[in-house]
Amino acid sequence: MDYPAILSLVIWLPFVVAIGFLITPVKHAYVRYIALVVTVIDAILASLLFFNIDKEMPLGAFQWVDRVTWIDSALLKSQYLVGLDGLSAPLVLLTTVLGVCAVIASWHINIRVKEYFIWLLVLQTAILGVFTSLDLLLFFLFWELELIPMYMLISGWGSGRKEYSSMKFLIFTILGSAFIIIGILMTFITSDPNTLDMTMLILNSGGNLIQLGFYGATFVYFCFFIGFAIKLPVWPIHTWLPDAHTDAPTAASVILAGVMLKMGGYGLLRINVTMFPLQTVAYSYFIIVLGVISVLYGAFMTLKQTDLKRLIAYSSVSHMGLVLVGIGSFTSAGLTGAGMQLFTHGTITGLLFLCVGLVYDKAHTRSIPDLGGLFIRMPLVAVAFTIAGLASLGLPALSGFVSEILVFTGAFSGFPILTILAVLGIILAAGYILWMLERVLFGEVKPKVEHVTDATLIEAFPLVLLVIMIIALGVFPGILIDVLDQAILPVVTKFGGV
Amino acid sequence: MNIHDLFLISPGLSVIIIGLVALILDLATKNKNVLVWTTLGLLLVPLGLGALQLQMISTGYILDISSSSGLLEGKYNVDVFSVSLQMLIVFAAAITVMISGNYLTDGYKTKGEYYTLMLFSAAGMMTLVSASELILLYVGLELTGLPIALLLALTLTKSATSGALKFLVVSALSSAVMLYGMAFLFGFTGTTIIPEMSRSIMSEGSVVTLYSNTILLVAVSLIIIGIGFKLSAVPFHMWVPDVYESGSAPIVGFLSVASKAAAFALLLRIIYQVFGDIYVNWPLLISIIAAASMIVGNIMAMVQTNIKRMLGFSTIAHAGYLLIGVAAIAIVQNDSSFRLGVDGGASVLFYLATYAFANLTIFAGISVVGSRVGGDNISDYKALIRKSPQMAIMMSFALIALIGIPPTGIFVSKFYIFSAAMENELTWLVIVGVINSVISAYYYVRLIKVMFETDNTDSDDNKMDAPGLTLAAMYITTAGTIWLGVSPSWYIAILEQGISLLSGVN
Repeated sequence: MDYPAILSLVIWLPFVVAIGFLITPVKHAYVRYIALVVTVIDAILASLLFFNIDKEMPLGAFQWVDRVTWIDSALLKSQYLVGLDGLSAPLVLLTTVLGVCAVIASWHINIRVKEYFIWLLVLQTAILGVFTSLDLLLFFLFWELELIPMYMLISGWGSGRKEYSSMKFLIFTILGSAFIIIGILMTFITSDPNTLDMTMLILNSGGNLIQLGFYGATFVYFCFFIGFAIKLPVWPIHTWLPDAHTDAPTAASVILAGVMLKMGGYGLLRINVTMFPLQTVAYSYFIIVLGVISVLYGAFMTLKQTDLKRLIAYSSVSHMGLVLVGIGSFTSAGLTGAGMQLFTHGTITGLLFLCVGLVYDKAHTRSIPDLGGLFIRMPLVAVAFTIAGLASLGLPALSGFVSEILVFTGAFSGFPILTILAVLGIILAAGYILWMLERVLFGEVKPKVEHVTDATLIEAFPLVLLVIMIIALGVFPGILIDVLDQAILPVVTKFGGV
Repeated sequence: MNIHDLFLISPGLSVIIIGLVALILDLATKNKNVLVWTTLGLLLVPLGLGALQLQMISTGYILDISSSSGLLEGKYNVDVFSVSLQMLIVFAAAITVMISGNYLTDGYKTKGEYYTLMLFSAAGMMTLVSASELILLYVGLELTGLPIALLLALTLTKSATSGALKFLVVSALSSAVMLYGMAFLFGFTGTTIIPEMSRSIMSEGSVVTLYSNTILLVAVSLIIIGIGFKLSAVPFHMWVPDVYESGSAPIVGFLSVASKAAAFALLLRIIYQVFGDIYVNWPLLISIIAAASMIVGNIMAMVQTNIKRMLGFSTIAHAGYLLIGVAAIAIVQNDSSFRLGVDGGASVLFYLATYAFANLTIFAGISVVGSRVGGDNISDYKALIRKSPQMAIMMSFALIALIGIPPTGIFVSKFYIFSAAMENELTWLVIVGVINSVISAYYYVRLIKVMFETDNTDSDDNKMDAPGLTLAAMYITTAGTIWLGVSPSWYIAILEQGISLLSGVN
């Protein structure tokens, strides 16, 4: 399967439609239907690409590459260069699937409908661009492009302290971008010949293309690391996440937790691990310690939350800590586990936020003490909620289990004590998830949920979709692992990992 | 002077003629629209002439006229560098004409003079970017400044008059300082023609004595201080916020864009043709000014409540970013002397163009809101998205551009400037610049937030209709911001050619 520009079509389709919304007088009633059709087409195309990815490609090779010269001057040389490999293909699939879910979760939005869907579609293009661009400047362009739509979605359609939260999100992210741009500039200027082309930089990883010396490269490494760690987020720079999550509208929460955090993990895997493997090995202890602190800190914080969204936000901090543990281990199992954790956490947290969004829409509260007995009032949502919760705590046969076990097996040989501490976080997860499910779903029906109704057919669709994905990946993890291995194994073998 | 010479100076000359035509037309007709449209239509002439000159330079018809055999014995340059900047200035003047209508309705009793003065000032700037002789340069400088001072005072309110007076005094002071530096240069080299000066310094060349070094250092410092006032760089920035606050929006916008372009052109010409490769540590001086401008400008802008004052501080900060590019011109050699590079100058010119587009968009919006609401407080912009969605969206886009977020021209230009600086080992300055971009996001986004804030109580009865011409200006500048952000390559190529012709380096 080799169609030129098919990947660019996937990336730009939502953006083009958003521009169409902006300049044509399309009726508000049709906007959400058009958005749904567009995201569904995007998801179908993305899944075609995902299932047709060549699993035998060597390191630095990409499929469906579109390459156009963008800037060509004496100093600046940049290209519009996009392509897919085993690392980016699953994340592109995840983005488009959650894009469909986000549109459906926004079905009831009735203020400034058109504007809302414009931002949502632009957001999707920006995130897809981050995952597919292979030119550092283009990567940064998409990385920044994502900022304004998310800011607008939180500040315009959020709840609670939305102004504060959205500004906090913006400032934290721009601060991260500042570190990333310094990293990009130094990589660009010190490479010889000057290049922003990531395919070349990846091929030369650890080689002599980037002429910085070890400590220069370490500086660049940590510039990138801080930028991506803010996005991931890693303790102690995670504080924007609970606020942003809590005050964002449901669809924005789904995108934020489901896909946007993965931009940080993707950046770490694509740039830090692949382009600077020597530094990753050298500072693995530091990375794993940060990861374990995030896992434990996130888990402990969840125990005392009473707001459902805040609880899931802290559980995200905890789960993203596992990505760092996998990366720090620098083993094939650990890195594949980290990549898989990105995908599975996207589906699981996406599902959790969709469920919470439905509960909030019907019961108008997210406070755990006010909820109870939802199993009786909304059985469909409750079942999905339970499956997501069980997947989140790592029940075997659900997808979360596979990625977590991969991370732990990868990390255990090198870092036994730290791994045991991280496993402790998973035990805590079982505690907070089960306790939360027990309080919200079971027990007697509280007055606030007396009159809630179950999800409608269209609202149930994304729940079913994500449940199927979670179970399928739990039973057949090979679908994902084989694809991820294409991008990750060559790096590990090249630098003597196992 | 033959017809060929006349063609070479025709863009500047035609701007002066258009200014005079506007003055006569104002007497002849009562209809304001005739005046505006005629001026606007005629301004296409210098733009067309400039484009024609660029075309002729690239085909080799206009050759080597900077030598003493050229126009006015080599005192007036027509090359890619000067023509591209002249076109930028004429463009800024045309946009200013388009957005001035909001103010000319009530505040001003005079109309023709307004356009005439503005165009005379533009002609002064055009002289400034072309002149390569000190006396001609000084004439250009004064022709730029005096009409602006008059324009600032034209409403005759108390604050406008005091702002204009402040501008006049600062302008005179900076000119005097610069003139003093020029006198040193003349005394040292014995010529007022810039390219010959460098030849004269070079011929002394190998014997750089302590004495000659000190003289040159004094001359460099005085000229940089003089230009610093025009650039609105720290510590010569005190006048900026007051003048910006009291002036009318179109004129302030013109001042912040065209005047800045002319001042940077002057700085670039002097650096490339006189100081560049002599051993005076001017890059360090420029770097310190750049860092100070960014820090002071951005931090002060955070606490402003008046939008024009805020943009005044923002323009100081942007002068700082631009100066990073100027400092990046010098490539440090192994023996710690300097060589001149193209990238720094080209990145400054590119930044000037992208900054012009974004800033003019915002000032166009301010001119409408300011004349409708009668105030320039940031709170006056509340719920602008309801009152005038087109203006709010375009202004927000321009503000996003000023932060340096893609897909806008300033994103590319910031990356360009930072790369040039990084290449010349100014890493610390790049880090200061990047951190300042983060700080600047705070106050720009705060303004965007205010514009998008809507109470549900707001009814639709307070719609704010922007005049068609102003909206058209905003569409043009917004398109320019996107255009240079999406397709910057061709323009960078022109600017690189301009700088390498200017400096004789490749």
